[in-house]
Amino acid sequence: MSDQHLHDRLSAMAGRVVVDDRVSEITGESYARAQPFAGRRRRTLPFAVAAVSLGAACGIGLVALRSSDGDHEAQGNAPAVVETSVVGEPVEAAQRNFPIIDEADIPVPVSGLWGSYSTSDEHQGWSGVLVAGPLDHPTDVVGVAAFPTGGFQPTSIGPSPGATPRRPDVQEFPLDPGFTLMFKHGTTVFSLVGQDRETLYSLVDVVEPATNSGYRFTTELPRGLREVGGHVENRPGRWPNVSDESQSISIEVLDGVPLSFFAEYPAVEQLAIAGRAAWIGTKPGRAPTVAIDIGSNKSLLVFGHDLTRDQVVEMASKIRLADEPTWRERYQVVDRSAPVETAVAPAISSPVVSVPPTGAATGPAAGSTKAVSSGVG
Amino acid sequence: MDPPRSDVEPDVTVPADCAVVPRTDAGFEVFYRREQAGQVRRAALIVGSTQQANDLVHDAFIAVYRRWSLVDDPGAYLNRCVLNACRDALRRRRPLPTALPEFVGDRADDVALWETLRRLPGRQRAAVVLRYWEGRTEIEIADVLGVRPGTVGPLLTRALRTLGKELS
Repeated sequence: MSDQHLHDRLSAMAGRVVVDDRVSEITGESYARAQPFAGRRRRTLPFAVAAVSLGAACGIGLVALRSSDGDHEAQGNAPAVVETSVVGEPVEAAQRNFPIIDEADIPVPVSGLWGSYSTSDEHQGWSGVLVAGPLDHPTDVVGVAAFPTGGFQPTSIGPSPGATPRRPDVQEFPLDPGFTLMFKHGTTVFSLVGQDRETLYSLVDVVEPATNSGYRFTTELPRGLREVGGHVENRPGRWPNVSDESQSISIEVLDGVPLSFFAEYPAVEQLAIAGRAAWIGTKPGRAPTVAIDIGSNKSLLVFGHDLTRDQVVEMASKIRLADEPTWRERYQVVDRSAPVETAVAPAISSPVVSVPPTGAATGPAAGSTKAVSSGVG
Repeated sequence: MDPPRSDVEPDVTVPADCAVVPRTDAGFEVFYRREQAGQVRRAALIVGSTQQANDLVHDAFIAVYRRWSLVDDPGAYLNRCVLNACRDALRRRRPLPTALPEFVGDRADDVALWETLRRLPGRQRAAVVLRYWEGRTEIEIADVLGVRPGTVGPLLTRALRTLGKELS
């Protein structure tokens, strides 16, 4: 096949693509009111709901949906004062949040590994996680997110077929498995994600907006739930990830403690990986996801489309954390994001370190955030 | 050898051209009308779905619109948004569905070409589209894909090897 023939045939196909004109959906009145998702009604519902729901990163499935750019701008929706936000840690340690794995350590054949940044400045608000039962075998995990005025508006999502909300003031969306409830309290939009519908509805009337922490509970939590850690303020940012050319594996560092990524998983249990606390979430018909606590309310999420539980755990145990320059050099990452708010970490003296043991698992501290992949696949 | 440039030229963004668009709603509409069709066609060839391509590009334009007065180069920004969205979409749909997209048509060589393109890794398919439909150079492809120029050649080589083997 000659270059010209290839060009001709691609041109012929491209010429048959039907293009919708939807500019009015962007520049129209609804969008002018700064509702970021007003033009997104056609997005696949579970993904849209899931994005709102903490960016509950069920492996790469959810990470994938967060829309993207590579740019950063000042946040517009979050409360001004941070009370229980992401806790900082010594700068040097925070710089070693860039995952590195060698092809030989991946238990299935892959062609080429790539690093890229995930970025997001959407879904700004606050999130956290509620857990019932012991941390090593939670019986329930519920994700909570609050979006202050100007953030995500539930009316921008159409109704979900087959879902009949129990109350007129609550929108209900089925997940696979699980549920998302969305409702407004004053001007704040709340999202609850979990496996048990009754549990979610029991929380609707006991959560309310709070100025300094996004939300708070007005009574003792029902059904044995407890807050694990504080609330995370989801700010614009960027996060490193590594994947292969076919996107069959995904290794990503995201904000949030490990359990905050498992509200959509019916089965969650704790492991120890390279001496660090980790959790693995499983659900029918989907490869398991591992989230490792790497400190500072950050998690290393590890997922492979075709990996078994043992394989994903084995792969996770081989990941090293490095500083940003080392990671960029290793995967030849080109940084085009020109971040405004996020400082690029400078090099440190010992760039590559193995994931050090952190001892026994401790309780996670906060919620999650969301991200969008940058780069192309 | 330069990539071919003939027949239907893809009307996708030329970044340097976009900085002159007035940063008003009217300017955005001009920008939209100039860029949209090419971006949707590019995205469709990468993700294999007209519907999804329209949605991805729509979302990308929303991202651009939100920063319309802030972004230095909206064309480059749009490129990045669309290709990022394509990559994200491919993460969820791997491999692409076997059903033929309507834009493939019924010509036997188009069907055969698409069947092969469909099985390529997403990044290779994107590189092929950028090179052989849009006529971009390896340096331009590297910029659009966010990789170093030296990685584009091997990507295309692997893709062409597969295409050649499957279509011979």
